[in-house]
Order: sequence, then structure tokens, then C-alpha cells
Amino acid sequence: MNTARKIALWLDDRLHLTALFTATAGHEVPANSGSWFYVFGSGTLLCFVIQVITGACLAFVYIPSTNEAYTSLEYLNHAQFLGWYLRAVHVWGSNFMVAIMTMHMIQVFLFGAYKYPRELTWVSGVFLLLFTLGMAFTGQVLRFDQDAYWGLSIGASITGRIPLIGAQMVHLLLAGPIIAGETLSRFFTFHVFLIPGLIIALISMHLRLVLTKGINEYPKPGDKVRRETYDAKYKEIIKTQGVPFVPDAIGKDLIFSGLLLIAILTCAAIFGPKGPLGVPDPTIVDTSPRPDFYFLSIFAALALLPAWMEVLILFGAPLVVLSLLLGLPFFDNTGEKSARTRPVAVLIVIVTVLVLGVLTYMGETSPWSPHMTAWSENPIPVAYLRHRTPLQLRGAAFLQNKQCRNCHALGGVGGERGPALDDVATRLTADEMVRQIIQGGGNMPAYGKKLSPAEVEAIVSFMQTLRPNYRPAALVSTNPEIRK
Amino acid sequence: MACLPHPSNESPVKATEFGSLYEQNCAGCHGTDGKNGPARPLHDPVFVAYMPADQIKLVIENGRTGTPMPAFGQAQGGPLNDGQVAALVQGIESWGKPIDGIPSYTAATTGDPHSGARLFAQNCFMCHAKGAAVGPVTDAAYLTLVSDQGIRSSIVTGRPDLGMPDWRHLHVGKALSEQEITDLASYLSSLRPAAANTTTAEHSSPTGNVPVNSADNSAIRHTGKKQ
Amino acid sequence: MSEPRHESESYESGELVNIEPTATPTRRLWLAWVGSGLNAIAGLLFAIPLVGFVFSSFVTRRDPRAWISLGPLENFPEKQTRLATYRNPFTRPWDGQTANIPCWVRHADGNQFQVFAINCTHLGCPVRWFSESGLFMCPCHGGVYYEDGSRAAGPPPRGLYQYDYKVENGQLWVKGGQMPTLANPV
Repeated sequence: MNTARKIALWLDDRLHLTALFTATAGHEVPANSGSWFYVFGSGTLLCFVIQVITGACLAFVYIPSTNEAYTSLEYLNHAQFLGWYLRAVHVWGSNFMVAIMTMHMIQVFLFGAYKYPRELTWVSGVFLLLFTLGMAFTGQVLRFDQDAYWGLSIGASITGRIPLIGAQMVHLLLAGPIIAGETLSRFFTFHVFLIPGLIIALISMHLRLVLTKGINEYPKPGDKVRRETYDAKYKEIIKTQGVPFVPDAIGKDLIFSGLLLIAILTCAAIFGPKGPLGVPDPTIVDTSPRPDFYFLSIFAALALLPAWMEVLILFGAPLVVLSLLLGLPFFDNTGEKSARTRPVAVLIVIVTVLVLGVLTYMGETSPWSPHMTAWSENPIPVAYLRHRTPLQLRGAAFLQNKQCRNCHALGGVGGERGPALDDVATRLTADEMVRQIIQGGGNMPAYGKKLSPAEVEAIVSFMQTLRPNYRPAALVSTNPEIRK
Repeated sequence: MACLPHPSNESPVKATEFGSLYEQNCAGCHGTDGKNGPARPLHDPVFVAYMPADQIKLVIENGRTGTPMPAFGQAQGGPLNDGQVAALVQGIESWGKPIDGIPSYTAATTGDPHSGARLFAQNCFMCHAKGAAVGPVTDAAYLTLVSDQGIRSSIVTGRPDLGMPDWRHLHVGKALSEQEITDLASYLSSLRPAAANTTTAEHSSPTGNVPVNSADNSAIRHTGKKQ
Repeated sequence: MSEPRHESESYESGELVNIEPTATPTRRLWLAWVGSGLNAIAGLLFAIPLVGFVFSSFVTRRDPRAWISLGPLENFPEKQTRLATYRNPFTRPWDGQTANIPCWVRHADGNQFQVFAINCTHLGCPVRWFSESGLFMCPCHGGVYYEDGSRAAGPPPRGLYQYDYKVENGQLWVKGGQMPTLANPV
């Protein structure tokens, strides 16, 4: 027995390393769980570790004060050696973390892994999802730029809609009556201390449950979970097809994690850090706040919901979704696990992904938002101005002047809130145009007080020329021409 | 490390680069590159030679009441600071060149509408009669929406981008004289309906009985949506 | 090297070494109860300042608003709407430019003013004024208001928030300092 071996054995004796290994990394898992579908959990964990490391590095420089935060971010981007890169890795790590975590969740859902006896593994995972989204929101605030400032404003406005205690909750969220003072410190504390602490605690619980209740075996159609027999069956699987997680089942996890890390590092190197965008000066009102990617779907929903549903959906929907997620392993506790025999589960995933995807896309394009500079920035297509009378040209100028273009496109450019005006003359008669402009309606403001009769006449005379390809102009429905 | 971002120390609010300033604030009406918009082309040597730089500055800052030209100066609640206005004036001036014998920007004398009417029939009528190729400039609504200065400017500079000749070519073979331009402008001004003064900025309620509050809107929402 | 192996096994099986009671169980139990009770009381004493500290902003002890001057009346020409800014009275020394709060001032006529909060009543985004069309437009979800602040179009549930104002010493004063929300309309 040589010395090295003696030292190793002594260490093992004092530290119980072999026992620790057997009980954790070396625990027996079903051989068929060494699958490419089972790599997302460890991938999410890797992302979290990257976030902790890069986050700690950024905290070396970042200053959580409303006056200095922006400057320190600029300093990180431009002056601190490799500061821009660590900021980039942190933001890309968060993007990947949300993405991989979503895949992990979908996989667990489709493979029925939340069923007996792994209910609490799922429940702890749901809380991990919530806390990760909490990290995403607080992190967006720490990137203290215009979007962050107005994002806080949006957050406070949503909070202010809480029935009964809304006013107090706003003050609690902002740490005061207004975005100032301790607001940023509060979000810093949540982002850097509280939520990460909770996440680490929950990950410990999540992993311990994976160890004690075993990893889900690869489900086979027709293999139903029954509370009375499952534990014995799982023991039998481990006995007959069990392999130690390390080294037998970890290979694919390692390959995926390696690729993931390279992907994050590459994205960070190519696309660089996110922001900070404009300086967080509230007096610069020339801004269009947008939330980060993860919250665009909510942003879109808030534009599309009818007013009476807003409070209901704002606070009701999260409660319902949370109850459904938390309740899932309890009301669907047994039975089939394989996605091949659970069409409803597959449908739920497809519908959810589609809904969130469409809402995110709509949030990105925001067709409901006026284009604030369209009226002074987007020219009228030249073809629409050829061979027009002086009055029609004046009308075209007033169409710009009165900011109509902020909501109405011409030639595909301009706002999308209202209908494009390129063929408005084929849809409305002159009288209908006058009425619509003066009285508004259909979500259009009334312009009666802001337009003189001559201006209305000019604008309408221009709009009457807007019928492409000589398509016939709109007719009054009582016109005898229509009856032919 | 090609992707190391560049410091963005210039706030967009303070940008003074003519190209982007023009594009954001002027292109909507005066057209891309200063031509082919509904409003007067600025990329026109005749216009730049004709309109003094200090007048351009004044109009950018204060707008022109009663016309579609809004005020852009911060003193008038607009978005542009003094430096940005100066950059715009300088940029527009760079589109010009000296032109000999250009009429003065403001009329030195009072015009004679009767002489103007005769000149109109001789020089303008073929295009600007009712039903003619371009359409009437004698239209009451049109005249309500242009200033006297605007009429004079249109006679002098024409609309080169739309094919209207300037003061040198309105009358075949001979440029209009200073007095003729003034007469012509005064004739057109005299046609402007008296009731409709050019000031449209503050119509308290030009349409009188039209309901404008949102409660009334909801009642007519269906008709508004029907298309 | 046989003893450590035994210890490892005991770790693996998760069994704790069974301690024989040397004193009477009632006394041990009594000590445990007293100990727990003592810690509960101490914990409560600890929790009171903690909760008070963290949740102090939940309870607003006094009105955070104060009268602030927006500048001389000459800055607000009659029949026009202008952007004004004020320094938030709740400010902290480390606030920097974030404490500069904008608002829209409409001088209707005479001594009649309207001072609108910048925040859209829908979700708090900054509304922008367009004098030509006489509308405030919100960049987030397309809320639109008329020049008197009433709702014109889009999702806002009400008109723009209006500050209390007064005219004193030739200056326009507003009562500001609180972020307006539906629960706290200025």
C-alpha cells in the first residue's frame, strides 16, 4: 500500500467521500433514463451556476444607486476589462436558462414524471420557475435604463390595480411613494440575495427529491402508474436495469452541458451585452418602453384584453395558472405516463406554446402602439401625390400634420392601430370620411375640435384620391348605382 | 472582439446631424431628400435662394399659423433645441445656390388685385382652372389653408418636383416682375372667403354641434366599424 | 481499517447512534420545551424590528406629497400644453436625474390650468403630447387622451391623472411626490 493510497483512504475515512458518492452522483438510475430527453434539468442547473458566477463578477463593479447604476453599466461595457463580455454572458445565460428550463418542464410534463411519487419534485420545480421569472424581472430593473425605469412604472401600475390594498402595495414595491430612493436597492437585494438564496434552497430540495424518489424511468405506453405497485416496480427496475448515474448515465448530460456552455459563450461573444439603452431620465418622454423577451407575452395580452377583463386576468390568470401547475400532480396522480397515450397533454403543450409564441410576437411588433414620429418622419408615397389638386396636396400635408399617420399607414409605413388608408376611398364615401374624422368612433378619437371645416375638406379631398388601380370609389348604399 | 460595443455618449435628444434631423422631423411633409412631399420642396435652389435663412429659422421654430407647418422650436413646445434648428437651417441652405434676379421674399408694395386677375387669366388659368389638369387654386378651402406669404412663395418658386414652373417661366418668354408677383398674390388673397380667416389654430368648436366626448362615440361605434 | 467502514455503513443506512437517556425524560422534555419557548419569544422580538423595517413602506405614515413650483407662469403660454419637470420631494441624495419628474401643463385660459401626470392611466408609460391633433398618445398600448385629459381611445380605464395646483407669487405650484396609479391617483 503506497502513501498516496493511504492518504486517499484516510481522507475517505474522515470525509466519507465514497459514501457520499454512492448516495448522490453514483446512485442507481434506470438505464433507459440515460436519454437525450433527460438532459434539460442538468442544463438548467448549469445555466444557474453560470448566472451565479457572472452575477458575482458583475456585482464587483455594479453600483445599485439610481444615480450611479447607469454609469457603472456603461463602465462595465466600455472601461472594465472584459466587463462587456461578462454582462453578455449573464444576459445570454438568463435567456438560455429560461429556454432550457421551459424545455425541461415540457419534457417532464410529457413524460408524466410529475406523477406518483414525484409530486413534490414538480411542485418545487414550479416554484423554481416562478423564482427564475422573478430573477428575470428584477434583473431587467437592475439594467437601470429607460426601459427599466418605465418597466418599474408599469409594475407599479399593475400593482396599483390590486383591490383594497393596491396603494400600500405600490409603496411596498417601490419602497416609497415614487421610483426613487430605495427602489433600486430593493430590487438589487431581491436579485442578488433573496431570490438566489431561495433558488439554491429549492434546487437542493429538487435534487434531493430526485435522489430519494428516483429519476423517472423512460415511460412506455400502457405502463400505468398505480400507487399500490409503483414503488415495488421502480425498485425492481433499479435492481434489474439500474446503472450508476456516474459514469453510466451522465454522458449525454455532459455533452449537452458542454454544448450549452459553448452556445452561451458564443452568443455572448457575437451579440454582446444587452443595453443599457437610454439614460434613466424620466423627463425624456421620447421613449417606447418594452419589457424583456420573457414578459412580452404579458405586455401583449394587456394591450389586447378588453378593459373589463384586465384586473380579472391580471390577478385571476396567474392564480389559476399557478393552481393548475401546483395541483397537476395531485389531480393527475396515476395512470399513463407516455405522451403517446396522452393526447390531451400534447395538445396542452402545443396550445400553450402557440399562445405564448403568438403573444410574444405581437408584443415584439406592437401593432396597437402609435408610431410617435410617423407623422413627421414617414413621407407619403410619391405616387399618391402625383396629379393632385392644390387642395388635395394641402390635405395630404394636413393628414401628416394632424398625426393621422401615427395610427394609419400609407404605403405600408406608419402606425397599424387604425386601418391603412391606401384604399380608404373604396371603403368610405366623402360624407362617411367627414363623419369619421369629426366624430371619431371605433377606437378613433374625435377630431372635431381640432380641425377647421377647411382642413376637413382638404383632408377628405385627398383621402378621396386614395383608391389604387382605379378601383371604384365607395358609394352611398342608397345610391341607385348599387341596385343595378 | 469585433463586437465590443462603441460608447454611445451622444444622446439622441441632442443629435445635431442634419440628415437624421431632417428625416425625423421634416421628411413626412417635405418629402424624402426634400422633394416630392405634399409640402413645399426644400431641396430646391430657387426656394433656398428666395427665402432668407433667418426666415427659415423663424418658420422652423414657430411654424406658420393656419398652415400645416407646425412649430418645432422648444420655446413653442416643439422638440428641437436651438442647435438642432440651426443645423436644419444650415442643411437646407446647403441645398441652394445664388440665383440672379430672384424676387424678394416679402412684397415691397401693395398689390393690385385687378391687375392680378388679368395676370392669373394669362398665366395660371390653363392649369389652375376648375377642371383643368392641376386643379383650382381659387378654391375657398385651399385659400383658407395657405398664408399670403405662402401664395407669394408658390408663385416665385413653383413646384419643380410636381412640374409647376417658377416665376421665370410662368409667363412664356418673360419672367414675372416683382410687381406682377405681388399683384397676382393679392388677387388670390382677395378671393379668400372673409369668414374663414387663415387662423385655424384655435377653433374652439368649429363644428359647433358635433359631439366629441367618448360617451357619444360609443353610441356611433357601430357605424364607425362597419368597413 | 475496519472501523471506518462500519461508520460509513451507519451513514449509509441513515441510522443515528441511539443515545441512552441518562437523566429522567420528563426533565429533558421540560428543558426542550422551555428552550423552544425561549427561542420563540426571542424570535418574535427579532421579527418585530425586521418586519417593521422591511414593511415600513407598506404603511404610509404621512402624505408624501408636497407643493412644488413648476416655474413662472410665463413658461406656460395660454391655450398651450407644455412639458414641465419638478424635483421629486421624496428624493434621496443618491437619486440623480431619476428624481426629475415630468408632467404636462395645460394653460386653458386665465388662471385655469390642468397639470397632468406623465403616466398613462393604463399601465404608467409616459404619454406624449401632440399639439397639432391636440392628443396625448401612449407608446405602450396605444392609449389616447384629448387635450383636457379625458380618455379618447385605447385601453386606459380613465382620463389622465391631474395634480392639484395653485397659482402663487406668479408661479405655478403642484402637489407632487407620489407615483400616480389607479389606487393612488396623484
